[in-house]
Amino acid sequence: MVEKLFIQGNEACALGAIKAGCRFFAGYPITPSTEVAENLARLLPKYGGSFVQMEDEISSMGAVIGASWGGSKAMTATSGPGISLMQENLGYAFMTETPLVIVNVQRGSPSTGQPTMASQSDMMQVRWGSHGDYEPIALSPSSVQEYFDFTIKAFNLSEKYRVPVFLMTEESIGHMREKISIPKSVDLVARKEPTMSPDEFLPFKNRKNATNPMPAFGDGYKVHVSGLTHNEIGYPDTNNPKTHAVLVKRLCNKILKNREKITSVKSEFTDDADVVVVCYGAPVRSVTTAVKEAREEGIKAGYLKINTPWPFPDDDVKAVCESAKDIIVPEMNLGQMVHEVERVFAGDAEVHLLSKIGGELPKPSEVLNAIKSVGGN
Amino acid sequence: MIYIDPDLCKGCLLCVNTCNAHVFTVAKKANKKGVFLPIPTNENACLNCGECELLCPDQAILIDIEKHWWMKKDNNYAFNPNFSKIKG
Amino acid sequence: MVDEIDEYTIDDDFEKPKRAKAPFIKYLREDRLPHIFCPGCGNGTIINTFFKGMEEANIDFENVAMVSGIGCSSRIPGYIKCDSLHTTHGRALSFATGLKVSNPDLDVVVFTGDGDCASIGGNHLIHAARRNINLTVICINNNIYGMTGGQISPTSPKGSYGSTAPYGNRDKPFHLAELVAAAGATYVARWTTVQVESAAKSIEKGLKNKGFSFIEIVSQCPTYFGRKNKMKTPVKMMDHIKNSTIYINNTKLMSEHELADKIVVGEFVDKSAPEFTDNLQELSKENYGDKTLRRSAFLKNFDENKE
Repeated sequence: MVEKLFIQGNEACALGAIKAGCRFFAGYPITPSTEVAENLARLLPKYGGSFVQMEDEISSMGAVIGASWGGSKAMTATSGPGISLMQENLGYAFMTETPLVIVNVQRGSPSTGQPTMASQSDMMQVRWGSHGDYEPIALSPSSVQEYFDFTIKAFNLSEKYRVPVFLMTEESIGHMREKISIPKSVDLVARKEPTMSPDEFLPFKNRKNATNPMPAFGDGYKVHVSGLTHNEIGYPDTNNPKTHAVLVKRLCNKILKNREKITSVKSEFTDDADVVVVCYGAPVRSVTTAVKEAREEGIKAGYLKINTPWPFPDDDVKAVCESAKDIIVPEMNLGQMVHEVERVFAGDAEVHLLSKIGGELPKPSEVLNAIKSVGGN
Repeated sequence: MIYIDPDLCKGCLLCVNTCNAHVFTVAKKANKKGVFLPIPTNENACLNCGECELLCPDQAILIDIEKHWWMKKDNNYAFNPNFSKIKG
Repeated sequence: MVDEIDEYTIDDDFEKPKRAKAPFIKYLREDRLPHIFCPGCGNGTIINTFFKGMEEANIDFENVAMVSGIGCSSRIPGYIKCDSLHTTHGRALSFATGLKVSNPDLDVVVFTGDGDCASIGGNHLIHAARRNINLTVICINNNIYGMTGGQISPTSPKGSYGSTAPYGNRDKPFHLAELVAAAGATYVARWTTVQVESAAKSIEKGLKNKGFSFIEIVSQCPTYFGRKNKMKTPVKMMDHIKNSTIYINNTKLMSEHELADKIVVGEFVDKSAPEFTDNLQELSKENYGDKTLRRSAFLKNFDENKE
């Protein structure tokens, strides 16, 4: 049985979190993500979960990490300024391999910026914001249905790879109302429990391609979880260059080596396209219309929608856009993911940025004009 | 018997200062680690109060008081029953 | 007259009898000993004090989880054989809040220092106290930032020297126990490393108390605080702490001026109030029909009918 609802994006996210098994939410009110917190405050007590409103974003992130080690699937929702505050503890979550989900409903920035307007200005912040080398996973929905689906996907990915997963959406999707269908049951990835005895168990074992199982506190494994450079047992070993190299390389490789399994893209009309629009998030909605209109006018245009901005789907983007001479990247910032696209093509195709800031989505006509100006002749 | 673990003791000498019964003396020479260990030279004066055991920051002191009437012979751990409830 | 012994020799082959371990070593990660604390540091004493209080309170050690931030005192959980989170600077209480709410069955203990909980984590401290969440916080106050090399902290006494106060500290120090008491904690006490038995008693009471328990233990830092303030040895520092201690009941008739250099010790608050996780459990029972789900991340299917 499929349930049909007409709801707001942030509400769909809250429903998705409940479906995905999230039973802990800690957050701090911030426009435009507050509805996620409000809905979970209402829903979580009905499903045996806990909702805590913390004193700030720093402690929200801390509480979410604590709850994750306590054995709950945990999440928080915030916007750009909140992510800035969370970066410190996010680095800790990457270092200690704590699964959790962060919903980032992006708004106009820098600083307080435009609280009620959409933007995509945090794409690089979630990638490089905390100090050190790490590889995050980020998902970018472009409709309310996807916002719901990707919330479940985010929890599954975070449990599978033991990594914080960002759900990068925009104010426009967060506050948009659309019809969505909610499936009766969804596939969930449960956290992997250690099977060996506590004496043999190495919580941070250096495995080549697999993620370590994660016990909850109170299970008797007596794990020491530290943000310091730690060895396989979890003890701090800060002065040994080898320990640090092994640890940080493993943290990055567990994502990079599984890049094909994590990333997903969607493309249309790209087989023979001269112009390909590479897009993610809310602008996808305008791009689909514009590309269809361009095809009607006889321009060989196509589009590629990136569902997972991080890790960046290098191979998928390159394969799909093989025939293209021009690439257009519409973004609601002054150019962030365009650098990744340029890096992938490295001169094989000309990459054009279609940037629009101020809080409005790029209109289909603007995308169409851009397509015409680069490849319409 | 009063045991001092030479591996753990860092020679802060808080035990020497705290002991009301003046059980400890400071060694004249440092050991291999360069630590002037406290030596329980006046062990007979020990009141078994357990203060040094509790105060020792390096968990290096054990007061083993098998000689007392309340300790059972088959008990491996011979702690002051007034101080600790640890069994086996 | 006591015989003098020139050297205390231990043979390398000498096998130490099993019982030659100090009583609380069995709770510690023996492979990590000796710990990194300087000779005479109060942190080691407070480890013993905690275990004494824990045993007296009849708390199951298997059920204890520890959380700490950054600093000398926050290294303690790393030496204790229990589940422990060594987190970011000042945020220990927020991690502990999440852990306790996620699994209220755990006895969560937070080890923190004066810089950790009073300076960078001040907001988290007062809010955790306001919520009255069932945590036991042991704040080791050594009046200085030890790990970074002796900078003055928010609790450094007026006139004391530190590497960032070469001409003496001119700021008024924080009184943590009074601050937390005012914020709404249900058990607050302050002791020093000299009164270990009293501190152990307070830790026992704090562990038993259902609510936010804050035990401030004034400790010595001979390496930095002592060296910069003409008290180079641990013994001298202990004497100084001992001499400036005054029991809370004796302070009622004393003026603020008289109390300026004193360390007031004793129990500040011992009351009962509704507890944060209890309230959440009640809410869950009203809406869900049962206590909150434990270990939900390991479940593959959720009971959807329960609503």
